[in-house]
Amino acid sequence: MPPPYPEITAPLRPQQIEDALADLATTFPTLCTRTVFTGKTHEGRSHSYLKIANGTGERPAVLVTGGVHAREWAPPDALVTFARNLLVSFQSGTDITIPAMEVTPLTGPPVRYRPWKIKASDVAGILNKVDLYIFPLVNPDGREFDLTPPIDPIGWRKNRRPPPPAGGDIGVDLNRNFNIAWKFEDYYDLPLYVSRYGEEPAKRTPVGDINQLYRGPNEHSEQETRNVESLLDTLPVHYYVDVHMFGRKILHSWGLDGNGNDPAMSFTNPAFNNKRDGMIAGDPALPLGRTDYKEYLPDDPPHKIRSRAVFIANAMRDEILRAANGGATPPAASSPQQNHSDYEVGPSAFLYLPVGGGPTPGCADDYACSRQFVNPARKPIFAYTIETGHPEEQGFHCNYANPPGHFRKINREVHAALLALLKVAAASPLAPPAPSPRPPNSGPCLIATATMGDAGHPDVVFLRALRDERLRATPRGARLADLLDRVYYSFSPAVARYIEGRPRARTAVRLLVIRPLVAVLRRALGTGKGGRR
Amino acid sequence: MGLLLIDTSAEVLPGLRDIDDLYLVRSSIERMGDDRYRISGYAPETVIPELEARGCTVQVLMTSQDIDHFNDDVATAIAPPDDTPPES
Repeated sequence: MPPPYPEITAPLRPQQIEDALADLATTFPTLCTRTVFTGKTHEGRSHSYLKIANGTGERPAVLVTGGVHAREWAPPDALVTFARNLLVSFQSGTDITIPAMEVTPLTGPPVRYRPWKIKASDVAGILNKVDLYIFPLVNPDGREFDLTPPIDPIGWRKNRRPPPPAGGDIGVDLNRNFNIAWKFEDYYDLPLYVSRYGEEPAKRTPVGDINQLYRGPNEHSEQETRNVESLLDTLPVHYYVDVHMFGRKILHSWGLDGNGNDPAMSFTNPAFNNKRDGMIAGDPALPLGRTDYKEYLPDDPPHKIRSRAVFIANAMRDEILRAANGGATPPAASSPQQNHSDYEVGPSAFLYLPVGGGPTPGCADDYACSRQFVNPARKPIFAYTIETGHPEEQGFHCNYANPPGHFRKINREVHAALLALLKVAAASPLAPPAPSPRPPNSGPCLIATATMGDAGHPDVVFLRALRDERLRATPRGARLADLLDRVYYSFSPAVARYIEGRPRARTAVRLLVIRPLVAVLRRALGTGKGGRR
Repeated sequence: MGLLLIDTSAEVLPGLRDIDDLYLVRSSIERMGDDRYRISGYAPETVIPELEARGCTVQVLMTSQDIDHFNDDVATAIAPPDDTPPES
């Protein structure tokens, strides 16, 4: 079907989504390829994903998934719309325009939103620099069931795995089935966890699964789970987003426990099996004298995974607010548009704490995050779950009619969040995964090293930290750091080699270049402590 | 089943999951300040007195009837199922 594409006015059935992906691959063959997974679902359905990119070579990959939970109607449809809009914009060179809309929340009067545009230049910048993978419907069997009348008010969460012969309920919660601490009775100190939270983090059997949290008979037992895992295992994914519903939240890893600095405290370390508490720091339920376990997530340069994960999440939140405000920076004073578009950013682990719930194992975002610890050459990976939608937009089963325009609004928010993430990805090219060579910006300062003869010298550490911690803290700074690196490494290896065997030249460079430079920078920036990492 | 918006305190909130027929949507939790929270859930309207007895303020966003009407409308709006059933 050639564009323009009609607005989606009712939830798409799984076959319509597959047809839409196939159509995009046919219509935009140079930009978009569709891959059908070889394995089929329990009900025999095939499903597929798109790769959208202009160009080849090693580029950072972004993977976006939706429809893991069947009843969450909006994400697959928003991702199909997003793919269509990107492709049309790139091909035609026109901006993506999200039109003005009036949205009526269940809690109050209608709210008007101005049109919002995604610039064609932004779209081009993204597709020219990023490989975008969109897998909009992970759980087609579940969605088909959920959309088959009579539609259940709460909806269906799981896939449609048949019950075991001995009896039990249908289905597995795919977002408890991933191979990351799936066997939670090994990962956690389960008696402590249960005494704190009153229940286990998922269901171990399919019997009496009223909350639809059955984790499956074994890790990645489900084809749907294995499909997502295979993409995370084989593609150079540095950014992963799993779009869910509902609650207006942007959640970052870990979901297993709080984030920590100790590399020994890792899901990979069996020494902590049956000892992980799953409690937030300072929880009075933590036994006296016991060290609070926190899952390791480094914040060291150059990647600064922990702080950049928050930075990117905030960028997504801010872009959603800008989109709600027609593209302009939201005013300081709250407005109705802001009040109805304000996403909360936080770690996944303690999302459920106020309700009495603990951290959750076996989730897609944590599986994505874990890949960089299973294979350190994959660093960095930033993984998110977005809970789009809200009770005032009818919860799981949002309304596609206009008015009230709930899907339209959610669709705008998904566009905004993904735009922000993709702009970060496009602006901050990351190291491709092994076995690719190390990029120059992760190497030592060659002149300083040659001059001082010690890569750990405080002056060398200071200069490196300045580049990696302060300059790379923002996308603009990262671009500047990349530029400086390119200039610097265009001549420094040769200079370093030259002075390495010439003590007088080394002394001259040290006294006349390095020390004055470091002294001026320390004074100007007030960062006097180099410190060894 | 209706769709409810429940305002309550930090103290009361964890106990709500023990109420039969109330399906809390945990991801919908919102901090309202002063140890107050807002969360949504699906439940028959008969659960509302129990919630109010626990000190919750309940707003019915959609009644059971609203949801039934909505689902009927969706059932007519969505595309018909595929003619060819998937392989089994």
